[in-house]
Amino acid sequence: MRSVLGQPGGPRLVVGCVGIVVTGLLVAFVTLMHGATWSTPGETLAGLLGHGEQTFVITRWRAPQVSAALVFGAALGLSGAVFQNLTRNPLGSPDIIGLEASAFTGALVVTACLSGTAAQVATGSVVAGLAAAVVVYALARKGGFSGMRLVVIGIAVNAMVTATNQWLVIRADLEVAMATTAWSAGSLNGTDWHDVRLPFALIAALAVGLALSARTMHQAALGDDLATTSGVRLGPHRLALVVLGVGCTATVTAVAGPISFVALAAPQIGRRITGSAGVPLLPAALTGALLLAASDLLAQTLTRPVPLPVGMITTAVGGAYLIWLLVMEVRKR
Amino acid sequence: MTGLVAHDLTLGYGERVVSTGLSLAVPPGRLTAVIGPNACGKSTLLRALVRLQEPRAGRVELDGVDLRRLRPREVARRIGFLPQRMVAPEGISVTHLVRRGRYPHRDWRLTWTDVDEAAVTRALLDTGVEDLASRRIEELSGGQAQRVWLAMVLAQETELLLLDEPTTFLDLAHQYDLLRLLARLRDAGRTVVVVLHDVNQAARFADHLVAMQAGRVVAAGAPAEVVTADLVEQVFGLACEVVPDPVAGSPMVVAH
Ligand SMILES: Nc1ncnc2c1ncn2[C@@H]1O[C@H](COP(=O)(O)OP(=O)(O)OP(=O)(O)O)[C@@H](O)[C@H]1O
Ligand SMILES: [Mg+2]
Repeated sequence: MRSVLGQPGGPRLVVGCVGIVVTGLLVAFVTLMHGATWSTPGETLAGLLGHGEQTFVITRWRAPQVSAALVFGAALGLSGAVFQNLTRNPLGSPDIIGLEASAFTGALVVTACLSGTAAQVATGSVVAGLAAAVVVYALARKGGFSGMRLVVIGIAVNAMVTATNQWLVIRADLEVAMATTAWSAGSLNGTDWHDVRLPFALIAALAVGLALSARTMHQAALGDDLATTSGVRLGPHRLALVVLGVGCTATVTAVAGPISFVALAAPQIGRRITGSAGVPLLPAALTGALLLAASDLLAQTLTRPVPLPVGMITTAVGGAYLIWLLVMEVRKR
Repeated sequence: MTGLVAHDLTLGYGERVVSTGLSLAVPPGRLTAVIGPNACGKSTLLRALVRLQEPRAGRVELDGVDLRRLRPREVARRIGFLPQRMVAPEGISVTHLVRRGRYPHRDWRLTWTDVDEAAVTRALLDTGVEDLASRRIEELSGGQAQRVWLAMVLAQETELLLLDEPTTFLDLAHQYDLLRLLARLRDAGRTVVVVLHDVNQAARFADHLVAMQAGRVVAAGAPAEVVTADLVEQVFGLACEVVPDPVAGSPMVVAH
């Protein structure tokens, strides 16, 4: 059995992926039931199928947000897997090395200073994310792509850019500031179909690009020498991966703001559940979807009736994971 | 000129120049052994021959064509290389690692052909690791892992095979297994270049011996001509006697 993404896998991969999908769909279904009052499973199912009085609420209000959680989570998981492969380091994900925060800077500048359209915001976000990738790589150049140097420099860039983002939000006009406060915490609240059409299409295209690059990405995991002597052109391959990976994280950030730690945690949890070699894409995407859907359910229900930004949940839970991971990585050395 | 030929190479890292004016012709269909003391530039030469190291000057040609003008995948279908050090992706099994050797032969589709499967099976059998097929790399001993990596490079099925110290982690019996395997590959028509530290093994199994010192080739030719007491003294700084190997009759170095 071979997976769609070109990694040969055993039964454990299939069972693991099916398990993650089923759990994710369950979480999504429970989230669909949640509103000012809880709908019953029967009402929710009927609503989804277009019958009953709750159809409008469920398909127009709740479904867009739940879909956004699943698709954006998958995109973040993919982007995390891409950068963890590139850096050969479980800490090397876009939310840790400052790419996500920089993508948000781009989105903020285009929105607050230029009041751009959704497509312009997305473009600003991608451009700023790519610029950050270039800066981090240039500063870490001596140590190459893999190695702790790039991660440490990325963490510093992340801190500086996050501070800049806060300053931008504070400096913005009061009206804009009100809107950007929830956004800058990373939120899916109030998402409607209109908001997600463009990002969903972009993410689908990026995922196809990544699926086509997957085999080369795994070949490159054998180290620069063996990758090169087995025919990988490392330069163009890495450029493609950086563009696709930044594309994923920036597309999500442009709409939902910076949602941290999903990209960091999903690839590692996914590979453990599926018993995979290296850091494969499919388990990372599925786990990302599950993680963000579950976090959004918590964000909506913890402080009922006022929802929290989902970024607060992922930061709280993910922060604990990051500390554990740092301790493990330091112990290895 | 057919086969792999290096012309007048200058090789180095940053400020450090390792070799200048290094030329070498790899005889096609033969087993070539490269010997020389630590840090004399053996690995650097091999890396230049498989385009891992860009020469500062000079060029490496494959059948008369500069390597830099060939497509990387094309080169990978013709030249296989086993580096001195390797890293395996975490959690990968032996079979899955060996399958990665098929990379240059596969296109963007996901099809895994019978040819691919046959190459992997043959590589596992040739290196004697078929019993380990479902184990994870990190659970293997150094010598077992070394043979698995060799299997991966064999699965690449290249006419040229360059190996950097493939016997390092192997016990004595497995060292000879590996050398015999290389001789069989040579008999099957492949060209093999191998860096060895044991001069006696090199002299016994190689058709062509290249002795290096301080980045230069100081002698190249049939083992019987190359391995002399003078040369060993000059290259390794070791006073010795050279006597015929009692089993193979090849030159054998015995230190004073
Ligand atoms: N990546 C590198 N950066 C800088 N210098 C290097 C690098 N690799 C090797 N060298 C230097 O180049 C010289 C030749 O090294 P090389 O690895 O080719 O030696 P070798 O003959 O293969 O030695 P050994 O028998 O120990 O494997 C040495 O002086 C070494 O210190
Ligand atoms: Mg060496």
